[in-house]
Amino acid sequence: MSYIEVQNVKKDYKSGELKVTALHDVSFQIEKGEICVIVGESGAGKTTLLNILGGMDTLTEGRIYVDGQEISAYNSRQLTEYRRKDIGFVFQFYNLIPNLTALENVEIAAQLNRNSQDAATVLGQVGLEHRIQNFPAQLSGGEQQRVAIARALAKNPKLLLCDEPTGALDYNTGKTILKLLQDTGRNTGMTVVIITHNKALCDMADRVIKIKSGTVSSSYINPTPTPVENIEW
Amino acid sequence: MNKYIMKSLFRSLKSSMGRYLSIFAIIALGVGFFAGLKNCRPAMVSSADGYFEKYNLYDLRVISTLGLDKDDINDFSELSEFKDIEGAYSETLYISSQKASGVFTVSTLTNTVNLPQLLYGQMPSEKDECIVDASVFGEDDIGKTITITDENSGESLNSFSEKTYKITGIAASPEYISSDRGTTSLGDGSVMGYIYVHPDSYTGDVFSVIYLTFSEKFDLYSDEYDEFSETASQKAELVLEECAQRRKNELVDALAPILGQEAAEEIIGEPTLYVLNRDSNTGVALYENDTAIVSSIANVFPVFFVLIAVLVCMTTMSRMVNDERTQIGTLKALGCGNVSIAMKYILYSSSSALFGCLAGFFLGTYIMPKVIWTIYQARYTLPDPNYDFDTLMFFMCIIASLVCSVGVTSYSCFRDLHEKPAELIRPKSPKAGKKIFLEKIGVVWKRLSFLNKVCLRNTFRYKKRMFMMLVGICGCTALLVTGFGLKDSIANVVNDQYDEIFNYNLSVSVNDSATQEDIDRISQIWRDDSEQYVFVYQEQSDIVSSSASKSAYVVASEKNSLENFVYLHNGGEAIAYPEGNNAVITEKLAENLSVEVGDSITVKDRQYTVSGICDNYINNYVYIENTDTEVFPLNRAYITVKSDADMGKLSASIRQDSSCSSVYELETERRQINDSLSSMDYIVAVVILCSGALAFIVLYNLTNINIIERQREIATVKVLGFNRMEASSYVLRDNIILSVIGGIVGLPLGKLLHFYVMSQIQVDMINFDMRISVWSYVFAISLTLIFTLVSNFFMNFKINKINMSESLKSIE
Ligand SMILES: Nc1ncnc2c1ncn2[C@@H]1O[C@H](COP(=O)(O)OP(=O)(O)OP(=O)(O)O)[C@@H](O)[C@H]1O
Ligand SMILES: [Mg+2]
Repeated sequence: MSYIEVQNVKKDYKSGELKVTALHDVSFQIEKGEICVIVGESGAGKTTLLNILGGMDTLTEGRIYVDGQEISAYNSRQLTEYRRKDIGFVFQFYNLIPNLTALENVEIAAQLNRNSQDAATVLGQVGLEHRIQNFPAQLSGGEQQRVAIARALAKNPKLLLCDEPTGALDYNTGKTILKLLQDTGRNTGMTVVIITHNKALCDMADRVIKIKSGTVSSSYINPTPTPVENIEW
Repeated sequence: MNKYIMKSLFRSLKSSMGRYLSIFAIIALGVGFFAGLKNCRPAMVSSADGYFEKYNLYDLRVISTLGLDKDDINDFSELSEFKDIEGAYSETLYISSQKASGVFTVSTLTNTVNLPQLLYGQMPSEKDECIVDASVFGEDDIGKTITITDENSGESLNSFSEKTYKITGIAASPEYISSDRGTTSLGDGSVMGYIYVHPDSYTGDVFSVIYLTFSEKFDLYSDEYDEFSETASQKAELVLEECAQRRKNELVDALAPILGQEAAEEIIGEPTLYVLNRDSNTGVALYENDTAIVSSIANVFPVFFVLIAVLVCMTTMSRMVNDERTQIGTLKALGCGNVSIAMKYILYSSSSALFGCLAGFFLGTYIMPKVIWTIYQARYTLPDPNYDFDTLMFFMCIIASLVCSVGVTSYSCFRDLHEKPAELIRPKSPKAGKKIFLEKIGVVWKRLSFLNKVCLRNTFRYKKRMFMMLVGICGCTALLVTGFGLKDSIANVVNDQYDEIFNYNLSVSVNDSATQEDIDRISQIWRDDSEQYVFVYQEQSDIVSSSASKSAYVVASEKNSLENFVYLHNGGEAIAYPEGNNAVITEKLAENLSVEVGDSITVKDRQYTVSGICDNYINNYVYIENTDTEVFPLNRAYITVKSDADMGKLSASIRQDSSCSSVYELETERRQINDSLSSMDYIVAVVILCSGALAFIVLYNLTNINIIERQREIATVKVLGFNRMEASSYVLRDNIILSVIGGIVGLPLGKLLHFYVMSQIQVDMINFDMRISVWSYVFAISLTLIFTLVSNFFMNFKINKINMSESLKSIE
């Protein structure tokens, strides 16, 4: 069995009489240590998929295995534990806590696990050692996203899930963030899943999954991933 | 454009009914409590007033031991102060009946004054018919009979032509609104009830009492009434003296041919005269005390509710304006004027405030007196309170709620409307983080756990919210301290007075004319039943200081005689018993006269130096040494009755002695005052309920807004893997910190508030002790914390329901 196994996943959103099927017949695998890019148009269901994979949402049908555990069978307590131990999230809009400094934003995640990394060290790894006492409002978007990445990495998660991490950033800043993610994956052997609607980014991945109208339209392994700095779009 | 504003107003109304209702509810609550509690005393007083007017309760009653006759009535009717004047005969007699046997007050029915309220049956039309006390007899007793038994003295038996009376009706009487029925020299000294008989059955020709009502109508318990009553009493006293003199002369003249002038004069003796106003009626006086307590509570309580209403209105409206920033910006960009944009919000808040005010006012003024009334109706036979519409109060409430809602809304609106449309359209950036001052104190800050640091910073992040939370919680604790403190201060005074200060349990007053033989004879009555006794001088008299004059009981005792009967002390320290020109006075008297130890006072035209101020809770006393029994005749005996003696029987036999003018059982006094104060329990319950409501409203409203504002943040920590407990405590821990701070600040505030309420309670008879026990503080702060925990418990669900993926989807 692969490190991540997604089998026939279906997700319906019900609001009153209305039923929206966001995902259906989604199946794929990701191997440990891979950098995986999920691409698709707006509304395709990427975020929904990532949220289910990260234990933020539950699915309607199907199974998901991560590292041999069937997370689709987890109850909400187990899901919380799963998010706490195994998952690092990076969002498009960073979602830092405005009232905490950069260091504290990382600490708040780090203090949840015993085997977390030191918050200041992780911030050093993402290149922010000199800004650790600043509040989010005092940081640029790229810097904030670095803090968010540091926060996700501090927990030493099995899986790093990034939902359009460069969506709110300019070209160059976006590039450096993606490079940071790629390097992290390479250096730590962490499994990284990146959502984007920029097809050019497929080149940086070990594995590419294309989503269209709520289902996987194609998926392939890229035997020669390109370093991010060499990709142009 | 106006059409658009109205449309958008209704859309906002529909989409945010909860917000609209929250303003409505808090204003309704505030106004309801304010107007309702304020209305209680007027409603209660006017209900009693109406009752007294309907049944024409006397304003004064005059009594002469020689009796009064028709000529006396004519004399009184010459005074312009009086309207209805009527005499009656009344006596306490042994009565037997199927239902109850014992001593009853039997009075002749009057036609104009003091009318009984017939509850069932009919008024007596024949000589041998009567109506009886509804607290003893019931509807089923109509048609049965009562009998004046042969135990009564021959003289008493002769006063009435009939021995057996048929009960034709059951009645209540305005003269007896409380359960107190007075005392008697018969039996065990207690009176079971009253009986009104047909006047024709009275065989005598003199009245025992004349009832008078004032020619002018004043509100019950008003200062005007008291003033008028005082002058009228003085005039009545003069007339009564003349009448009594005339009566004495008549009687002497009638007896003189038989016994000789001197012997006749001796037999007739000096009459004792009384002019008694309504204050001497236990029911009327107790009722005044009770309503005074209610009204002083009404003065304090609602202030908090009004304050909280303003605060809640403010947060809610500024939140709404904030939520609709983009809309406001768009409108502004389209060229809509500031005023017409603000109009929507002003209309929104003022209409909900207005409806809230109307609902609160009518419900409050209707329900509150009814609720308070149920507390009291067990103790008074009075009709339900009248609905008393106070026009001034009504408009005050309306204007206050409008000013408050419009003011608060305009403030929130115009603060935002100042900004340029472009700025408005962009969402307000979330409030930037800031270090708090505590972080500068490295020693403290370093010791705190990480989450505690975060929580502290969050607490101080929203100053307005923090301030409001503190005010609300402070208020809650302060009210609780006040409530429990009221009970402490009131409940204990009676027991302290009768357990610690007075060490005797029977007090007998002796006629001023009593000789040494009389005193020796009367003390024989209790010699066997008592452990010890002492004769002192005790009389009410005006005490004068350099700045004031106040009436108090003067107690003059011979040297070293009072030690075992009255314990003079101040706090824990005993005070030396006064000697020579020294006087020990009670605390409240010292306060009223504004004198201290070392100052001089005048008692009965003699100068005394205050040598001590003693604790005392009921009535006011001046203790002096009795050096001259000419000025201070021994007219009062303090008796410590043996615990196995029959107190009732003893006091009844003392009452029968001719030198005895009255007997007071201290136990009875204690019970009466305790009964009257037991309603404090309910008042304390009301206080606790209100404080709880206050705490919940504040906590709920503010936490709710807090959760909505921080929804994204809460979702984020949930994504990070905070479990249920951690996520709630991340948000709600500041509530607990604020409750603790607010509670601690609230304690001294409560003490102040308690001080204020106590000083507002003007009860003549009782000097309340300003005391709050440690337990009251403990209870107050614990209850506050419990309220917070309960509110947090409910908020937990709300935090739990926050959906991570939806909350984080995009920037709103
Ligand atoms: N809470 C919800 N209730 C109902 N429908 C939803 C909900 N969340 C998402 N959807 C629907 O599910 C589908 C997939 O949404 P999703 O957010 O996963 O798209 P996406 O691929 O992330 O798009 P984008 O690139 O714009 O972020 C959409 O059609 C959306 O309308
Ligand atoms: Mg998405």
